[in-house]
Amino acid sequence: MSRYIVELFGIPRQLARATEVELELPPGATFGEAVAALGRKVPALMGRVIAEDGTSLIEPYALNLNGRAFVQSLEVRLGAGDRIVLMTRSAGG
Amino acid sequence: MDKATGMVLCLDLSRRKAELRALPPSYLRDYLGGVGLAARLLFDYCPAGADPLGPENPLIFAASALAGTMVPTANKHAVAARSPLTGFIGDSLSSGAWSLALRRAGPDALVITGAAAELTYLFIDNGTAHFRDARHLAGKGSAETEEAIRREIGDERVRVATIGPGGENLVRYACIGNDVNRQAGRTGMGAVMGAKRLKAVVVRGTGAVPVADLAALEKACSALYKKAQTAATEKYRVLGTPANVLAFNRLGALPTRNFQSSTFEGAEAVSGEHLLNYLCKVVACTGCPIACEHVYQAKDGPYAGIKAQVDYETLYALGPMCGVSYAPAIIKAAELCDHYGIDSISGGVSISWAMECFEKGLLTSKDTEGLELRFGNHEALLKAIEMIGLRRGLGDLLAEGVKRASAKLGKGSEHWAMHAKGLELPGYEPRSLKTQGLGFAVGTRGGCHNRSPAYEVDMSGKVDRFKGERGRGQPTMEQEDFAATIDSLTLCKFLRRCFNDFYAETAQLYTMVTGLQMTPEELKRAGERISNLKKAFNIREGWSRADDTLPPRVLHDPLPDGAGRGSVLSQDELNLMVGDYYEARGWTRDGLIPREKLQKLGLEDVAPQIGAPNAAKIRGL
Repeated sequence: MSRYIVELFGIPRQLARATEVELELPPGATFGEAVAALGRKVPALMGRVIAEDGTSLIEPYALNLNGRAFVQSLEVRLGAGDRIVLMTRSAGG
Repeated sequence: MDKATGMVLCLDLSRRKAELRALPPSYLRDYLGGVGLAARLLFDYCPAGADPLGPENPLIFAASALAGTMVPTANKHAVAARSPLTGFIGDSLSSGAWSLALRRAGPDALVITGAAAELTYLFIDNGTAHFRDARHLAGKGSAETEEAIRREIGDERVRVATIGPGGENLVRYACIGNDVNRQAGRTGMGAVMGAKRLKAVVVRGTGAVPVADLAALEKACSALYKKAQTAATEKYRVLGTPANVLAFNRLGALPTRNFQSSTFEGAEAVSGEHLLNYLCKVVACTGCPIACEHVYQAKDGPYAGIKAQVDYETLYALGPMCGVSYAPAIIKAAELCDHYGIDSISGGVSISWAMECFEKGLLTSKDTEGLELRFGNHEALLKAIEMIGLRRGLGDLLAEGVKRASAKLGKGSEHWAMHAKGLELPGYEPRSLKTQGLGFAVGTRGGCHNRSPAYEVDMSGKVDRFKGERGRGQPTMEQEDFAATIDSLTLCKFLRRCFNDFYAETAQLYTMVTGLQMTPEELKRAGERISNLKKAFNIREGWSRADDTLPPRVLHDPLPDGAGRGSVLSQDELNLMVGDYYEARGWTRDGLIPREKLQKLGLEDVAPQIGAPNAAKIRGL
């Protein structure tokens, strides 16, 4: 198993009461598997940030890889040492 | 006064005359309301080359057909004039009950021309316009002016749009406040009002607002109100827009110390999460189910008891940009901006520019009345806001905005004057959000995330946000046209994710309210028309391709830190994207609008005024 850090921002952080969560996933796991594992580890996110079936994020939440690229497909595989950033796409103000 | 839609009230301050005129019937379909209607009336009433601070520059206020109805978030009004800050189109939007009162009073829009001999306020009392002496209100802040006028008229229901001392003193980015916490903030509409010696526009409206199909509207709005309580808006409701701070910091997109870096070591201390410790109340604009306005109160220390509504842009400009991480000082700074009636973005960015000048030795304590105007000095920040509002000392220079101030100071300070077309940049780092950089460069009112929300493209996952390339023109145009549409319907952008099909659903809402059969395609075309009309105004006022650019710092200085470390938005990248954008728009390579394009959009009357080129001839050449 490999360890991955999910950094939480905004509402996900408020719901989880944590700035980050550590996940243990099989090597080469996908972002989708990470979302499902996150839902199991932090049930407060279910139905608010993660869809009830655990397979996807609720709009407008999005995943970002290492603070750089926003993830378009949950089929993409994680690399060793990747950090997952969970935030909303909604900006403005 | 007739309560039907389609009327504009023209008010001449020089002659103290009011006249109700019918709008051309096509305007409510072609330009909708809000920003679109205001832009069209500005084009019609503003003589080419008008001095922005002269009596000939008309000041337009426009509501929309949806304002005053049950459509959620629709109570907004636009203000337009030739901007004294940019010299191009000035348009700004505010929310609250002022637009509702205007619609209840009758007209869709006001066109205010001329200038009063003495400080005056206008009181539009349903069908009658009164020109009232406002000399006793001189120097009063926005909130105290609202209160004083309500007391004077003896009616809590009157709604007041007012300038503060900043507008009276012609600060080029003075705003117009209403409902205490709301402002038509950008492009200096308050300075235009001050130049007219117009302290306030007060409205009492007690009539009904017409709705064509009330039953259908009730059903549609009921669904929208429910959607507005879902995840689509939760961030705004719980944390408010200051939630952006930590996310942007992580993305390397939080401009800090005058864009010298893109992360702020004090981000946690000024984050939306931390500010909950200071939360005093959450307020909604009239008719808004989202309620994003977070009002904070300093609890202790030198600013104990001070309250202000602080949104992300205010926070960015008065916090990270000035290197200030002491939250109570930011609350106080926001309160001062509201009091003086100055745009907190332009004010904060101007002070940030001056702080960099001071640290580099271009300004000394002799220039600043002894102020140590260094990044992080929150006491100096507060003093500088006051100096700007009163145009005192260095404040007189900073009240001109960074474009003029840097041109006057020189010594290379233009390099870090962070503006596009003279409008100070909002809190989105263009070197790590390069589509947004394009949006800033081509924006008709200058660098603005509201009129050109191209950050949506950067955050979509569909593009590499650190790359400037072909293909960004089309989505940037679509975001601009979307913004033009929603700002003209006068719906809040925070409602945008509550629609499955924005154009289809809002076209239906517009039809339900007005009775005009509006299709999604017509509505989308209206957005494109409005964007082109605003560009046409700028062309008439001397725009050239050289105006569609970004500050030298963005083009030359690599980001030193954060997720975007090493990134610049090069001149080549910008040229590529700007050219691609013109092509997507159907404009010439020089960014001019061909006659045929204007004809397609129903803007043929505009062509002679801007010397529109003939596209076929251009291709032939």
